[in-house]
Amino acid sequence: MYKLLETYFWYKLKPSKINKYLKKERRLIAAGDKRSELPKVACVQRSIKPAGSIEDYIDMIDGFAAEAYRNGCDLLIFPEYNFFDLLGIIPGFRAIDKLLNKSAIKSSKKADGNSSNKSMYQLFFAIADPIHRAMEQIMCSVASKYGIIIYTGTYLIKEGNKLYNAGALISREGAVLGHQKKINLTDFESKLGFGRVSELKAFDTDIGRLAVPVCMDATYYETFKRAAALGCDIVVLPIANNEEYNVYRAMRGIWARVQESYVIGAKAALTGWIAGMHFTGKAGIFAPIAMSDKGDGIIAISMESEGDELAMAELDISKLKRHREEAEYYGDANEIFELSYHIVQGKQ
Amino acid sequence: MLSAAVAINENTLDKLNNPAKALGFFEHMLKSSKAKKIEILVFPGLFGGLWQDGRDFLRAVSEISKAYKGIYLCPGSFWERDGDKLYHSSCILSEGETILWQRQLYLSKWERLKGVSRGDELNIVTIGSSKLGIIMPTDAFYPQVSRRLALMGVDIVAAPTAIVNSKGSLLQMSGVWQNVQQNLFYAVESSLKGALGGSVFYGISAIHAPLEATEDSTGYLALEKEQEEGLVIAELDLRKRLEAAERFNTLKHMNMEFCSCVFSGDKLQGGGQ
Repeated sequence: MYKLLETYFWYKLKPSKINKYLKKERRLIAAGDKRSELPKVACVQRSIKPAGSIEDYIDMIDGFAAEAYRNGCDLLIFPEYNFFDLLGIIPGFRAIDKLLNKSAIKSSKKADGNSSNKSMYQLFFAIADPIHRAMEQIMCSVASKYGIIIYTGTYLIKEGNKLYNAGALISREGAVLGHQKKINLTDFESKLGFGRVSELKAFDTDIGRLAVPVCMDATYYETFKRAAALGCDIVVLPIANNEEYNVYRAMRGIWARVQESYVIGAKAALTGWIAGMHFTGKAGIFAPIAMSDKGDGIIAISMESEGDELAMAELDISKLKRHREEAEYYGDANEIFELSYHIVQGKQ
Repeated sequence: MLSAAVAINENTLDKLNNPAKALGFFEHMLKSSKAKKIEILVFPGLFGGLWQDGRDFLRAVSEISKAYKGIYLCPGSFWERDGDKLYHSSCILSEGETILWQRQLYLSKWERLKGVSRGDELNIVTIGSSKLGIIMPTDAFYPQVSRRLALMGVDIVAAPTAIVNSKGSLLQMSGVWQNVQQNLFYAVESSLKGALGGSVFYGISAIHAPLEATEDSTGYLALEKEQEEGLVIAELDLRKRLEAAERFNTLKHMNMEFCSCVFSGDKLQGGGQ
């Protein structure tokens, strides 16, 4: 059955079909606002909408890109599990999805995704390759159409028998600059059997050096410390949190990491319902507290924790560097302590 | 374990303008703690800064603590002189005995200007069935300190804090609160308010727990009432901490291969595209 599903996805996401539609989509749109000297970033917050066809999905991606372009943005960031909508292509999925979501809302018992790990993994394994290829085709085309850098959000990359939760950074010219796989997995992903990596990459772009870790990676200070050590001033983070929104829960992720590491953090969030699972989260742009007008470390944030919205802000990297120099609680080092740090931690 | 953080207001330091008055306040808090059966009591960071010499402070508070059996006491932090070096230090006292000593590992800008030295060890002590450590004021903003404590198996952290220029911002939350969330231990934070040694400090005293161990999912078991002097009290239930970790266990899923290399220079994984 899974082999059949894979074949079906290859057929529904055929490159020639996607290409034909993308070409049709290449109509002229109004030029963006006049750009300031500072780079501007747009973080997508969006609801999952199971797609009836690949064309629906392209329209959705193109809609966010057009909005970012109209607002003079240089970088557009999509959320984690940005492919979930494509599950709607599976025959009968949308009807089952509605039923599961309705039942979960009614019973107030959300699915945690743990009930049928094996079959879910097999499903993802079957559709990973066609989705991976289609998403990169779409994102590269949209990036070059608007001349903006795009972080794809994440999808699944198949390597051997392993699946990785990963995303790609696309240049303004529409070239894949590279991929970043997730480093620290959630309980759900571990149980599913996803692979993880122990490498954080840095990507050079015309707006600065970026790292693009994934969701749970922001729970660990080490990720952002490593990004800062690699010379990244901007850390991009896609999330998809399968839980009810709580501001304190949100603050233990990218907000806290930005304060420790003195970088700018840009977060995109997947929200809404799929297969009885409920995702919430706010897209936002975060900076060290001293850089924010209200002393809260927030430069821009979406209004609600569900729904479609773009959080946008200009990134003042020079200001960030000035604040790093002036910071009271940043930049000290302790060679003796840090020398033994690796040994003690490695023993655990 | 029933634990308490001492809360002071912005006028307290002005009132305690000499060691005798400060010791009076210290003993008053101990008496209240004894009456309430507190087992862990934490005073604010730099409480011992009211003394010119940290040794005098320590002698005085150790002497008083002898009469308060069953209370593990962090008397706040103080300046420790060792030869020609000056350290920012703290300790845990039990009935007059020093059972844990901690020098601050990282320095703030103002401490560097003052010529303070860094300690190089992180220590913990076992009391009953719990492991206890100390997070010094500036170390609260260097997450590697909390992470190491967590990996040493600490259950409870005493956090005497003293934060400059933090009033009206969320700076304090980026210290102890978020380290508790990353590392899933309990923390008893007593924070200094007011002017001392040419700097102005501000912070809220609180008892922190992992979000999943707090009923309102805030990560605060107890929080001081604004401008009120006294004790902020909460029960630290180790079973609840473990239950919380079952729901969101950051340490279990941590990629140790990646995270353990964070300070190992060229051995670090990753690099340019």
